[in-house]
Order: sequence, then structure tokens, then C-alpha cells
Amino acid sequence: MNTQLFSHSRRVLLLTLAASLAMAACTKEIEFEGEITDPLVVLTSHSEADSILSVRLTYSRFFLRTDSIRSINNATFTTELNGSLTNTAFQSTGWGVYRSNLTLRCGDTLTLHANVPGYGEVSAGCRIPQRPVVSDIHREIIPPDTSGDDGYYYYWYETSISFRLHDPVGENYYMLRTIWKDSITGEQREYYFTVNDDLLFPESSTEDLFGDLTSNGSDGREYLFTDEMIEGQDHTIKISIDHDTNELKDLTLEVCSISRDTYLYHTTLQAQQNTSGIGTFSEPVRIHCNVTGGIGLLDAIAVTPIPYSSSSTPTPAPRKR
Amino acid sequence: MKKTLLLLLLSLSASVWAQHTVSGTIVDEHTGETLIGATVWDTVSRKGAATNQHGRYTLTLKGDHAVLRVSFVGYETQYHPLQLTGSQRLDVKLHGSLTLQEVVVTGERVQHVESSQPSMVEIPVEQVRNVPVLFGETDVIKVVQLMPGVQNGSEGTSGMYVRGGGPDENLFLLDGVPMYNVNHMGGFFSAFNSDAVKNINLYKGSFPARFGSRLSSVLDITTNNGNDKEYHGGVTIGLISAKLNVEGPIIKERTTFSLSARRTYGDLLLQPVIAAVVADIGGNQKVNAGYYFYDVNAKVTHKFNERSRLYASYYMGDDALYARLRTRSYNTGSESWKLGYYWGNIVGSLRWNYELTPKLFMNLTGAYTRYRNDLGLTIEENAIDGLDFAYTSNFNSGIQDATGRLDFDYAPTPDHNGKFGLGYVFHHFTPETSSVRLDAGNESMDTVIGQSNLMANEVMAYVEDDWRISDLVKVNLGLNFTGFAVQDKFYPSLQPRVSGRLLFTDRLSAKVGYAYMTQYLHLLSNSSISLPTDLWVPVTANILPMQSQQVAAGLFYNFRDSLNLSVEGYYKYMDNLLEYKDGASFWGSSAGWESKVCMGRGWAYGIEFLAQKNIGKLTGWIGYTWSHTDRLFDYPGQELNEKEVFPAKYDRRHDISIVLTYKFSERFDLSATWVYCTGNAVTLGLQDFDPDFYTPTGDYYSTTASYITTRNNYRMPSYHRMDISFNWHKKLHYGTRTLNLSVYNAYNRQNPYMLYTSYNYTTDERALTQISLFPIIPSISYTYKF
Repeated sequence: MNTQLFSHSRRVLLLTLAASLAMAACTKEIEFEGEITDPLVVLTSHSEADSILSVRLTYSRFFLRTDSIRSINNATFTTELNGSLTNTAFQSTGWGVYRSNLTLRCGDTLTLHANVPGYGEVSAGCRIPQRPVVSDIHREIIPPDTSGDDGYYYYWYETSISFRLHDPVGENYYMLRTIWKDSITGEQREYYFTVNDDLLFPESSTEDLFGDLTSNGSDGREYLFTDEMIEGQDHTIKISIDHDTNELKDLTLEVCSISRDTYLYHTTLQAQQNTSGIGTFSEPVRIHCNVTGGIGLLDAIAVTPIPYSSSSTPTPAPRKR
Repeated sequence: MKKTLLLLLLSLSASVWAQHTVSGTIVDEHTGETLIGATVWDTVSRKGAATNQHGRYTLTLKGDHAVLRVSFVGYETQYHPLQLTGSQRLDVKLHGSLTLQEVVVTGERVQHVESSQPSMVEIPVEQVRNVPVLFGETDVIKVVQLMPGVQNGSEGTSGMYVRGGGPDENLFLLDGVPMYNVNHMGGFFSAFNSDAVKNINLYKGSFPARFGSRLSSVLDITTNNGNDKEYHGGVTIGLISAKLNVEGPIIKERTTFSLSARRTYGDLLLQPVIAAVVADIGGNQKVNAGYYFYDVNAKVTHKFNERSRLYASYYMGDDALYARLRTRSYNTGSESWKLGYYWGNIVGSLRWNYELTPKLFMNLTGAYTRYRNDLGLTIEENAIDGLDFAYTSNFNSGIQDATGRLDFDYAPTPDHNGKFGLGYVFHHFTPETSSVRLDAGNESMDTVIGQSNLMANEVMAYVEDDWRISDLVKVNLGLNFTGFAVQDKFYPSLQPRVSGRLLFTDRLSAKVGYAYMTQYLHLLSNSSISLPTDLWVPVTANILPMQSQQVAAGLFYNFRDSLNLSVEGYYKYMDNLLEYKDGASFWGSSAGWESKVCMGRGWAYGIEFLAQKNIGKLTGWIGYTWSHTDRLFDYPGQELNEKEVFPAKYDRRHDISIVLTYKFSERFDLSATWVYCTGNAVTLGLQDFDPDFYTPTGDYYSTTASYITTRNNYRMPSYHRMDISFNWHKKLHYGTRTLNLSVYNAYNRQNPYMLYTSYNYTTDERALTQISLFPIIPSISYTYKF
């Protein structure tokens, strides 16, 4: 802890020096002398196996403008599935969102063309990956230790799940996330959790004061990783989550196979968020896109869900003194 | 066949027997200081030589007589008729003169037009002392940055970017020993005290084989030996610093010393202000805080005899940033808090010159160099009845080198001037070590973390020959071998070096050169701000040595004996260059540094014009560079910028420097510099967009992302600035005093240091905003020389 304190002291000192320098200096607004570039069409679509395809189209905005992001609601689409044109219908639902009647399957290759009046065509392609194969799932529920506690954490349990991931030969990308779904209202959201895996997520990768590109999943809601360290092998991953006893039945760990584009889009986006503002002392981050003629991402994932609770693991009672 | 061979041997032997070697040392008549680069020219045979770093020359001549013309810039030329009988020694003492322009030029022209070395500039030390700079503190590096092909990073940094190379690709040699950190005050000043400097040579390409280990440049600085006849010195007091230099004989005409020192004193002046503020606030506190730098150059030279000399050189310089807080209480005891950040160099060397034969000269060097970067934090709490709590943390980083080197100069025939040698360097890296000691009654801790020691061994050997093939053609052929052993890996590298000259007339020559260079060290440094965060690391099993290949060609012309003109073009290809990955922050952490960088390649090309006048009332130079520098990082697993070419950070299309000094009389002189350069390349995201960063669950991350089309896609506003300096000299009874008035950034140009996007909440507008560092800064200094 003290070494961390010292490490931070050093960085804070350097930061203070830099800030002093900046404060001592004078600032002035200057004219932008480059080319004021036209807005680009932003295509985003998060395609998932066994779900319908939906697309969002917006315009980007010149960085010195402050008006709202404009949606595109009058685009037309053509799609190719596995190399063949499909007769897919798209319906605009506002805010630039279009829903189609096309359901994607694992292994499908999708190419999407969007024609935007006054702009032209943007296109993107992706292949829905195969679902990740997992086995040897073990759950452990650690009840809260109420001894000497003021009761604040009384209801918080820690559940850990370990599972074996079978990594196929070749370049593969994964994402772990936890989904909480209210069984009554149907509302769902991501949930913070922790992955304890030095091989896939080395501790040093989160060492920087302002974070860096390799700090995957630093927000604790999504952990993205490559199979670089486990190429073609089985690897056991253990995650843990703090939760209320009532939430357990609504929590699902999702082990996702993702495309390389999806991996790069998310990691570069996270890195840019981490290095904005005071992180101007970090290298700027270029966000990876896979859209031709515009920017954005045609996403592709396949999910293997692992429920946190199962009938064989009853919730234990809280431990008492 | 046997007969032919015998005939060849006989003719060669006869040719060797008919040769006579003239050798010696050329010194200043008044000070005894050896003169580097002085020329000795036989007007009969039209053969010549220049003095080496030790002021020594060797000239092998045919025939029975010669007339040697000995000349050097700023000195009266001498002619020495000789009857050539065997090996002869001719030591020459030149008399300084600034008025005899005609004869002075001869030597100058020989060096400029006749040498086989392109891409080399000799920077006049006198000019360095006259060039106006920030706070009136003369600065060697700042002047070097005014040469074509050399760029500074941004205002307030001493980083040098030579022909598209990075700031760690420059070899700074102080009396032949590498110096790692050449900055003071985080880059605002360089570590070289101009009072201690005798000679500055800058090599930008076509490196002679004796130099190695860096890709882009060699700045070879030689310090004064000291006057061997009488004591001299000087004191300078400026706005932020004071300097002292003393030199003289320890044993007349045999042993000399030279000592120069300087220190900033802003921190000393600040203490009363801090004390007054603390007193105003009240309480039992004592606070000290400040920043200073100092450096000391010392050199002792001993002449055993005309053939043997010993040099002992020492440099020590440190920057210190400190803060101390002490609180006393009669009830509870005392608390103290100390924070100190120190960084700097020590360079020490011992060199022995010995003339083995008139044709063979030896230089044996043993050297030690150290760069350190230390941060210490101590917190102590003392109760009335004794120590309560003590906490000490230290961060250490640095590099130490122990070097042994043996160099020879060998001139076997009139047309060959050879050099060869070998060397060994033991590198001791301390990339990053943190230690913590805690003593708090029952709790105690004493631990060290980090990579404390990393050793590497480097060997080198070279051979080069400056070969005069004919009056028209002269070539310099060389081969440099280096090997670097680290972490059970050995990286060998054989580097050919070739340069040549074609002499069209006495005043016009064309030169061409090629150099292959390898570098085994990397500097992890924040290039965008000036902070003491330099960390030197070696190549590893994963990070390969950087390599470059450069070709350069140019025309060199002497106009009317007063102006040296040159135009030179170059193309440089660099491999295994390092760049930080997207998003990597560079706060001096070397932990896992390999994962923060990518290896790629780059190339640079450009044209440089230089018009230089070193004599007369008006001296100075005008330099212009047109250049282009790109990077490409497309190696598998090392990709940057989507594997597309992008401009390097310091890619600049135009760079102009005008440096002029006019000497009105012995009492007054005026100097001015004007620089202009294209703005630095920076990365701006020109389009904002909604990344639709949502999950299938419907969670939206409310954010706007910035789309960057390519790295370094925008140009900062151009940089230009004028500095003016006025000197008023007056002869006093025991010496001369000089009053210097300088104005930095005379027309108060707000030059860009950094750009960011600002947002005005009142008007709901965004604007591109520029940070500038130095406005117009007048300064005054007083120098007394005796």
C-alpha cells in the first residue's frame, strides 16, 4: 500500500509540475486552419447470433461544433447473407435506428450496404462467430460474515464461478459480461464483477495513472481478451461478483465470442475514454472501425450464457458469530 | 609472376623509403591551448592534413623540401619551409588575429571544400557565446539547433531531432565520453557550459567509422585544456544564474587546469518570500522549497614531453527540485516532510596520448559516465519522548557506463590517413527501483521493488582510412563493428561507412556519403512535455536494435574567401524505431515498457542550405531545411495507425535560421537570431461521433467519441521568434568587463507549445486553444574576465 502511495506521489509530483508549467504559460484561442471536414456517416450495429439485425445511422459532427448529433432516418439498405442478396426489410423506428426481419446464425457472413440520400453508400461486413464452448462450471456462494459488522454488508454475498473455456485453434477474441435481468419487469443491465486471472489480465496492465490500452475491462462490466496467451488450449477462468441474495437468480454470466473488429472497436473506445481530458499527456487513440465509406462498427458476437445460480447450489445462510 | 610481385614490392619499398613524415602539435601562442581542425598544407606537393581532437597532425611527404602553410580560423597563417630529411617534428604556435581575413580563409576553405566528410558542421564556439538566448544564458544545444537539418522539439526543450531522427538518437560526447541527459531545468537549458567548451563538431550523417551507437547525430564537444602560461578567468552574473571559470598553469607549460562552474540561484532568492508567506499565515512551520541546477567542468592536462600527454576530465551536473516542511509543537513534538527530486550526470575520463612513432599516434581512454534520476520522500513524526513514525521512500533510475577505449591515428603514406581502434562498454541500467522503509512503533517495513539491475556488455572495433586517390578524388572508407550482449542475447552489427569528395576547383567540391548505424539503447521519455522522466533501457530479446541507413550528397563552395556555401540532400531509412502505442501514457514507468511501444520503420529526406561566414565584422549563418519525415508501423503485432504511413511528430517542411553578429568595434557588438519553422504535427480528432457504445441489454454509455483519421494529422501554427543581444565590452585595469543585454522573443510572438479544445459554457462554443510558454523576456548579465 505504501509503495502505491509512493508511486502515486511521484506521478502526482510530475503532474503538478506539468500543471504548474501549463498555468505559468499563457493560452489563447486560435483559428482552426485545417480543412473543415464534412460529417461522416456513422453506422453501428450490434449483431448477435439468433437475434434480429438492427442498425443505427447517425452523422458525425465537426469537433468544434456544439449542435446535437444528427440521426439519419431515410436510409435504404441491402444485405448479403453468406454471399447472397437477401430480401430483408428494414423499418425506421426513429433516432436513426432501423430494425430488420433478418435473424442471424452462428457462422453467417453478413454484408450490409446503407444508402444515405445526399451522402452515398456505406457498407460493412462481419461474420457471426461460433459460440464459445465452456465446461466444468463450478459455483461457490460465500455468505457475508456478519461477525463484528455493523450490518451494512449483511445482505451482500460473493458468488464465484469458474469454468473451462475451450479455445479453438486460430485467432479468437472473447468478452465476459454479467447481465442482470429483472424477472418481473424484464429490465436488464450490465453488472460489475471481477475476473481473477493473471494470465489473461496481468495486473501491470492497469498500472498507469490514466490507464492505457491494455487495461481491458477496467470498468468491471466488460472484460475483453484475446486468446494470445491460451492459443488452442483449455483455460479455466474464475470470476466473482458481489450481489444481494435476491439478485442471484436474475444474474447471468455471458461468455461471448466476438469478432476482431468488435474487440478493437471496444478496446480503442475504452482507451480513448481513459485518456481524454488530463490524459492529453497520453498518446491519442484512433478508434478502430470496420465501415467502408463511413465510420462505426458492424458488430458480431455469439453468447454462451452461464447462470449464476443453479438448482444444485442453494443459497447458504449468512454466517454468524 | 614472381618477378612481377618482386618488382611491385621493390617499387612500393622505394616509394616508402622516399617519404618523410612531419608531425607535431599546433597550439595557440598565448594560451598554449591545442587547436582542433587547424590545417597544415604543403604548397609544394599540394598535400595537407588537419589536426585531430588533440591538436596533433601527421603529414607524410615525398621529395626533398616542402613549404608548410599552417592556418586556422581567427589566427595568422604561418609558412614553414622545410628540408625533408627523415622524420621531423614541427610544433607550431599560431598567433590569434581577427583582422587578417585573407590568410585566415585558406584554412577554412580547405576544411570546408577539401575534406571528404559531408554532413558535418563545425560550430564556432565564439558564435555560441554571442548568440542571444533565454535569460541570457548561452546554450550550446540551442545554437546547434539553429543549424540546418537540426530541429528543436518545441519551445522550452533541448530535445534535438536530426534529419528525422528521435531525441534519443543523438550521441553527445564530452571529451569523447557519452553523456546521457544533456538538459537542465527540464530542457530549458543544456548541460554544456559554453565557458568550458573549446570545440564543437556536429555530424548529421556520413558518420566516420570511429563513431557509433546512435542513429542520427554525433555532437562531439571538446573542453578547454587551460592556459599553460598564465592565470585567466571570468565571472558572470545573470538574472537566474552565475558562472565562474578559471584556468591556468599548475606547472608552467607542462601542467594546466581549467575549471568552470555555474549555478542558478532563483531558489535562494525565493526562500525569504516563502518565509514571509509562511509567517503571514502563522503557525510553527518552517518551509523551504525551490529548484536549482548546477554544473562543474574540471580538466587537468599534463604534458610529459612533446610525445606524451595526459588529460583528466570531470563533469558533474545536477538538477534539484526540493521541498521541506517542518512543524514544531511544544505539546506534541515535531513533524517533518522532505521531498527531493534530483537528476543529473557525472562524466569522468582519463586519457593518455602517446606518439608511438611520427606516423602512429595512440589515445587510451578510461571513462565513467552516470545519469541518475532519484526521487526521495521522507516523513518523520517525533513525539516529545522520541521517534514515533518514520517513512522513507526512494525512487531510483539511471544508467552507468564504464568504458575502455584504445584509438590509433596512422598515416603510413602521403595519401592515407587511417584511424583504427577498439573499445568496451559495461552498461549498468537501473530502469526503475522503488524502496520503502517504514518504522512506526509496532509496524515496520523495509522493501525494495522494481527492476534494480540490468547489465549489458558492448564491444566495438573500427577501422577507417581517409584516402586521397588523386587531387580530384578523396574518399573515407570505414567499417565499424559493434556487439551488444544483454539478457543472454547477443546482437552483432557490421556497419560500413563510405564518403567521398570530388574537387572541381579549389573552391568547389561535391561530396557524397553513406552510413549504416545501429543503436542498442532506447530512451523512454515524454516527448510532449518537459519533465525529468527520462528512462534509458537497453534492447531486449523482443525489442530489436534500431538501425538506419543514410545517403547524403552535396555541393560545397567557398565564395570570395569569406563565405562558405553548401547545399546537401539526404535520404535516411530507419528500422525498428519505437513509438508509443495508442493510449499509452508515459509517466516514466518502465514497468512493462515493452508492451507500451511498437516497433516500426521510418524514412526522412530533405535538402539543407547553409551560408556561413566566420570571419570579419559580420559573422553568422543562414540555414534553410526542407524536409519530410514519415513513419510506418505495419509489422505483425506492432501495428499503428491502421498500418498506414503517418508523419513523424517533428516532421517539418520548412526550417529557417538566421544568426548574425556584427562587431561595431572592440567595445560593441550586436547579435540577432531569427528562426522560423513549420508547426509541429499533432493528432486531432476532427469529427465527433456517437459510438453507440451500448450493450445488447440496452445500457448506453453516454459519451461522444472522437474520430482520428490518422496520427499527426494537424499542424500547429508555425513557430517564429527573434532574439537580440547587445554586448558592451570595456577594458579595465585588470581585465575586461562585458555588459550583456538580451531580449528573447523580441516581438513577443506567442508560439504554440500545446493545443487543446476548450469549451465556453456561456456561449456554448468550442474553440481550438493554444498554450504558449515564453513571451518577450529581457535579461541582463555582467561578465568580468581577467
